[in-house]
Amino acid sequence: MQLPDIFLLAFLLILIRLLPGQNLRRGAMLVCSCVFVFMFQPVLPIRGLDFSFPLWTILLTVCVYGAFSRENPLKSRQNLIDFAFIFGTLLLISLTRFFSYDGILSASRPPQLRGILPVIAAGAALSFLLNTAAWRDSKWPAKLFIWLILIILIVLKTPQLALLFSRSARSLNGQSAELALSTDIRWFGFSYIAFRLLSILIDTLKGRKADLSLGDFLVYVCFPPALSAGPIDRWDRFTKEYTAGPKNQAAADILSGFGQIALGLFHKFILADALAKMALSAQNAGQFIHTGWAWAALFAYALQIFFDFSGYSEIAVGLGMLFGIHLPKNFDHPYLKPDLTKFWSSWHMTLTQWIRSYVFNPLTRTLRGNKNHPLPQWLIVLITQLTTMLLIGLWHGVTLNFVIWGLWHGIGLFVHQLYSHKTAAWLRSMSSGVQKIYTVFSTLLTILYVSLGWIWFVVPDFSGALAFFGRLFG
Amino acid sequence: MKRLFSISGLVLVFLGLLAGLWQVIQPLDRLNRVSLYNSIFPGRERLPFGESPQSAYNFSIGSLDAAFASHKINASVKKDTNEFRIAAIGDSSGWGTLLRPEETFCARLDGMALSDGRTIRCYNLAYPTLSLAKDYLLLNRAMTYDPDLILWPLTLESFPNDKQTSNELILSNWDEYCSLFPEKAGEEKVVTPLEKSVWGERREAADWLRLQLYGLMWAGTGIDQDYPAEYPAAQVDLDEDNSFHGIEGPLTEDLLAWDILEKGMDRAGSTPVLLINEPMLISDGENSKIRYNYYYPREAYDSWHQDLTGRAEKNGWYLLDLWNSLEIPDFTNSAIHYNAESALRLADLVFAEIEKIITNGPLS
Repeated sequence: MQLPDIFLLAFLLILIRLLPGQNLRRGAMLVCSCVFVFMFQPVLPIRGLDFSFPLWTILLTVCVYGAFSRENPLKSRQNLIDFAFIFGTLLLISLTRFFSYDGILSASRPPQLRGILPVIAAGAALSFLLNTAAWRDSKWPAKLFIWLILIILIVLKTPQLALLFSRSARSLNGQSAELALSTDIRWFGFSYIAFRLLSILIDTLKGRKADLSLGDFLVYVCFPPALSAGPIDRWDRFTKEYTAGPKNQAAADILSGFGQIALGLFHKFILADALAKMALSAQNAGQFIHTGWAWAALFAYALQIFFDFSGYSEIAVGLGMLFGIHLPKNFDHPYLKPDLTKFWSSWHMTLTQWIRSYVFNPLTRTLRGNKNHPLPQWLIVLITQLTTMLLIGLWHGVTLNFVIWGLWHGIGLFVHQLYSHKTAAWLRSMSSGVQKIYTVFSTLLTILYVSLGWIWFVVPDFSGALAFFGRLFG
Repeated sequence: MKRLFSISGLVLVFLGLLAGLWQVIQPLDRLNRVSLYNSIFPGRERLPFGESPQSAYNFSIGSLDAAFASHKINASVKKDTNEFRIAAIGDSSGWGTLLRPEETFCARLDGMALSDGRTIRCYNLAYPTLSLAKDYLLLNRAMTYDPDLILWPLTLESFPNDKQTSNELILSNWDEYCSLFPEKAGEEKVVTPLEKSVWGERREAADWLRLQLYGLMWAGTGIDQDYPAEYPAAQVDLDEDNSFHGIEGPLTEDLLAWDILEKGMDRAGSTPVLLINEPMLISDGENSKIRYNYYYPREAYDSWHQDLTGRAEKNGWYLLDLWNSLEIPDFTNSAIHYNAESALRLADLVFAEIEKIITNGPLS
């Protein structure tokens, strides 16, 4: 999200909020969500792909709706209206090819209609088909989409697979496969969209009833403020607030919203962008000749990534407020936390909550549930911590260094949990003064551990990361 | 809604006050003289210059105040008793395009011990732009640091009158140029209040901040320019063109800014100036009978060369003529950019010349 996008979105969200009538607001928001999926998508070197990815986002959302919804879309007036809005918007965006050689609402000029219309029709048909009486009560459509989303995520996050995809797409397009790069495949916002889609699919598989309309579901998945960097809101919380409509407190929301946006802009475009000029990066990691400055660059990176990410989240929360949606907070002073467990409870909170709900807790229950061969408690903690942190690492990219970064934190959390369990009584017996000193020391130690972990995150290759560790401690 | 308006009003009042304060105080000039270099970060070895800041950790800043404040010479206002201070001005060959800071001829001279027991401290104040007027601005600044010797590398391309002010450094420091060259400045440039407002000066202020921020990477890596793994070699096969800046044949005096050179020599006053006719590539390729290299046709260069030598003799200037001291493989991406080994050889030649000046000249 660049500054013009943020201001345009702020303007549109206020405008939509001020529209009379909930139905009109919901319709406008649905169109706005569809359009911004296209507008945010960056230009890609593979012809047509920067139009296809947003199109697939919307069609995938429509199909997932068909897979979990218990309501036949054809029988619901609201859903038919939503369908009309969605496909009308897609058609409108497609028609912009006749007005400009560059993209107006899309990253580049949309492909020809004869290529787009069958895809849209197939998506709509599949959604209806999945919701026919024969399959409505079956679990396999939801399972199918869970696997499909995971496969897409794996392809997008694995450089070798992304490169293979890029080569194939280029060949199909008649472009040179030799020029293919793994970075050609940038599907805007899919990492976050996937979490939203997966959460509702998993919940409905478990038997939770998701009673929401297609339009509301699409707005939840593609809510423009949260499209680029989260937060990952829960579908039930979001849709409850969304369908209830904005409360009659527009001025207060707009004031708080702009306050959040201003804070986010300051964090992202002033602090983070300034720190980026002095922070550790893949490019400069191997260039340091002075240890002290290498440490300074590492801490600058630790701050940069925080301000960058939290800045975007604050902007998203602020934009949401302008419309009357109170997105959850994503960061809560993580670098001021005295231990790694609290750090992860306050860093990218919506992601960790998601992982806790859908991976950590079910895994813990499964491991504890084996009454015949019970596992020791420490082993359960180790397995669950390593698995969840490994998944968070892999979510950033399927590379060795992200795996190590995940394990780094998994091991850190495990050790902290054992340590805190053993020292809890001892700590309580300390005087408050000593406890304060201990807290300061443990906070600094946590910052150091997290910052050193960032080396695996920022340096893309194993040997480069090791060399940088060597520079710091050599 | 009332609260929304009152807070918006407060924000506007605050921004208005900030803009008004900026207009009254005009802090940019003072800000440009403040620097984190030479205090938190080590001073830069050469003046800030570059077009790819993300990889060079350096960029071309317009303000000479900010540029000098970031240079290590700014930390050495007071000279050590044993120091023989050299200020080396000039263009990209002296600045050291494609050379690391420690590889330039100035850096090679730095630390050399003179026969009189003093140690050379050479400050690289060159700037990669070909213009004698720009050199004069730098020389004028260098004089405030009390040098014992000025090194002034020259090449013909810095001399044409039409080259003097058509560069960013002069345009960004136009007031200073006008004060030094009142006869050439023409009409005074009118600065509008908007140009001096916080909005009008936002880019300069941001550049100042950027320069400070890049200090950490400069301090940590010692890198101050982009070093491409590959670059096109200096051109050896040349066009069949005998013209220099549109003039065929030998050059006449009125085309070149000899007056600026003379003014520079006057400005140095009693501080000796060693002029260096910079080494250049002498091609043996296509049309090399007409041209020496990409920049110079033989006739034009020879006439300038003769003129320079004659003026040096007539005025008693120290001139170290190195024009043909290097071979084709010694050059990198241009007819006047040489490699690190050549810079070392040149430093030895310059050192020998300085010794001569010390022994026989006014420094003895």
